[in-house]
Amino acid sequence: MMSSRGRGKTFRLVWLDAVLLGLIVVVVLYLWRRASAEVFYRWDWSVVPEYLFYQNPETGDWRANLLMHGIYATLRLTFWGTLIALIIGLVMGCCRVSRNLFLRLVSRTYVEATRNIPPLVLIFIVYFFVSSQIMPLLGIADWARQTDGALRTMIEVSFGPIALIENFLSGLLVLALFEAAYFTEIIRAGIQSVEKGQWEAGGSIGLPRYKVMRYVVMPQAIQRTIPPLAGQLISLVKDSSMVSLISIQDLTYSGTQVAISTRKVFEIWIFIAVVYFVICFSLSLVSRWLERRMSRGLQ
Amino acid sequence: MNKTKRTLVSLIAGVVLIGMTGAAWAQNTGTNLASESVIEIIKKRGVLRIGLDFFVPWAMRAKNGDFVGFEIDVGTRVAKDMGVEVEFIPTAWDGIIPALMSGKFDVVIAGMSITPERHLRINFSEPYASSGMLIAANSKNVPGLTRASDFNKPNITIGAKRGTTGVDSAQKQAPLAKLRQYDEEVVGMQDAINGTIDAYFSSSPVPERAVASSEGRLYLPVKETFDGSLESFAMRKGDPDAIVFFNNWIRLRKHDGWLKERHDYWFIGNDWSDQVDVK
Amino acid sequence: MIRLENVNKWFGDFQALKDINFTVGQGERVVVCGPSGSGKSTMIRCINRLEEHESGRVFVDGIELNDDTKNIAAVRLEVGMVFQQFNLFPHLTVLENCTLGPIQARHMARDEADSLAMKLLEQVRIPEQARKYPGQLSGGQQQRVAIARSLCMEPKVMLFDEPTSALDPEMIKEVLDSMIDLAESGMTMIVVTHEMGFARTVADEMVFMDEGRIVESAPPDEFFSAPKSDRTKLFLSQILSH
Repeated sequence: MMSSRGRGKTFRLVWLDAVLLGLIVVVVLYLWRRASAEVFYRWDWSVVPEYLFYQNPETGDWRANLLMHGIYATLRLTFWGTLIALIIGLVMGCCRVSRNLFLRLVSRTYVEATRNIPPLVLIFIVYFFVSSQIMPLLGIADWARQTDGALRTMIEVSFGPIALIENFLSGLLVLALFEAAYFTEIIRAGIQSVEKGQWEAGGSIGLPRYKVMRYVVMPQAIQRTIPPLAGQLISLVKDSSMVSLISIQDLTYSGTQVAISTRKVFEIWIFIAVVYFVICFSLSLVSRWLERRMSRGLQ
Repeated sequence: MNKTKRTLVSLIAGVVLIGMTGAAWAQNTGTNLASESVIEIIKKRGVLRIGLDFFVPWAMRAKNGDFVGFEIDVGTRVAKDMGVEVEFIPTAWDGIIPALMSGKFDVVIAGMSITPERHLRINFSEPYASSGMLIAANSKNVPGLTRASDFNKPNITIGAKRGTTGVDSAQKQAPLAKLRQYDEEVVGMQDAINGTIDAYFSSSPVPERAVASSEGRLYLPVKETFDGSLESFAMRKGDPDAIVFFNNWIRLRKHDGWLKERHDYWFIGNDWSDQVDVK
Repeated sequence: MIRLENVNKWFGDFQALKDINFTVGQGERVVVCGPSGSGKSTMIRCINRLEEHESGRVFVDGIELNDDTKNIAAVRLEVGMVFQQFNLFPHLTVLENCTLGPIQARHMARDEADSLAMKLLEQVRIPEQARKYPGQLSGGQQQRVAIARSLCMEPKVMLFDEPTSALDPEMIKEVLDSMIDLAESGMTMIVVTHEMGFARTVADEMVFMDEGRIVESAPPDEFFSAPKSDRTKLFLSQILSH
């Protein structure tokens, strides 16, 4: 970036870096001292491993405890939530730019309704109306209960304990519907950012509109929207904590339960923050890799 | 398509959507105005589903992940007396009443105090416990106060947990003071210890326990509980059988002293603390 | 082959095409010229329905162009177009750019499409670029790929909308050479361009448009040496002076 220009410029940057670094260190140290002086708190980090894994004192078996279950739940919500939300977002995004008025209306209504209602209210409407009515109707829980063997294990790994599967799926649906509205707009903007000439060229070689979308426009649109999509995805991870309202024990809620029970608030919440950071940062790395991979043709 | 037509169609679509939702919502709560009592449903199902959220010492998580606390004992006993299994469904406080109304669980046993506002949406049994309010005050910021009304000054900041009677009490006793509402009690109590706020209103035994472990940074200005509240089981409306059943269960357990014994164990004693506390 | 009868088109209040009557026979090479805003691009874009004519009729190889999507699809299979801005698909290789049409619109097998594409890339003299991406090619090379891409659909007519206007001068020749080759192979071509040297070499008919009308139409010899209309004379004097 900088080094080729000349000794003067390089020298100036190094000096500025040092000053900034020094300032940051000073501020951090000051805050730390003030915090330690003002805050009366007994640190006890053993709470974290204790509630992560539990060893049965009689049998000596280890099993996952609350926090670990919370991590699983959040990971599941993130994974499936993203998948479903992306699919809905892609479909709705195409609808938004469709020539068909009805499709445009439906998708526009969906986006505006979802984005302009507070998440709390949305959950109550969608979950208590849609999910808990539709799920029993679909009979998923009953079907899942009578599976066994490898299929059952797969289901439990993907969606959690069978007993809670209806609840989990309902919450997942709400989360996905909520995030998909934002994905829709991002994808729509991506589609609209592809120049008209691409549509014209695709049409002029005889491709019908849906094939132009599929082979010419959408690939370009997606490549452009990876950064904002990744950002929204990271939001999804953080928004997933809303499922505590519908009794899903995600990482935030599990952590809160432990924090209340043991009163070791800071240790638990710092731990939770670290886990969320690891999840979100990994996603951000994946998206950057995807970006690089997809842009190889378009330098 | 011109603009007015589009706006009109969108508006109609929106109204239809909301109308459908509203109708279904009403119908939803209506269906639960039981064709049969929840007692029958529980019997048939063989499991009693109880909704709760976490407060010390009402409901907590032990180190091995189990539910422990006063509510747990009560709920387990109710199920045992009914001859069914028990299932606890933790739900964030803000979602507990809607969850009950939509049938996620049969009853809420969560230290929920009876208030007229809540009673408009759900039914309460007769009280099975009563808690009184106490204050944990910061020894440096507001030393030497002795009554709740002493906190009624505009330069004093009080904390309480959102959605609980602590808020009502603070507003009633000290309307002039600044009120900060917390999502979690632990956070509010920590602020009180740090001196960020001057005092924290909460139900006994939370303030006493906080004072005991604060190494003098907190003290109890008021010795006797005030603004007592009554805690009951909460259930859906339109179910007279359930109300009668739970009322009588509570009366029986008060009569044989079981409820008091359990209440004292959790609220006054400290023997249970090694199940949760980490030293 | 191509026939426009009394075609009119408006963009809002502005009338871009006024009573256009235009015919092109098979194997003919027509060059359309005129000042900017005269409607040249609009006219040829009506031929493959990139623009919709509002009155009058358009026929391509006997098929009438109207709202019927089947007709539009059929016409687009027979009409190829090369754009001023190339409009290559940046996320596909040169080869993939060429084979997309045959595979997806003519349902050709991949191998067949590949060899067809390679053959046409050789014809425009850039077979070695097949695996590269458009972004890695020069402007002249890109436009030649665009020509090959259209030819892969084996069209009966090729439309060129100012194909060299966006190119640096040193690359114009390579593209014009490819177009001359194409003309010599007997392709029906309609070319909108300012390149008069090319026009003189290749055209069977010169068409001059101004303000949405066809002002004059004549074989090149007549057109350049003895233009009838004053506007044509004015235009030629402006364009031929440099």
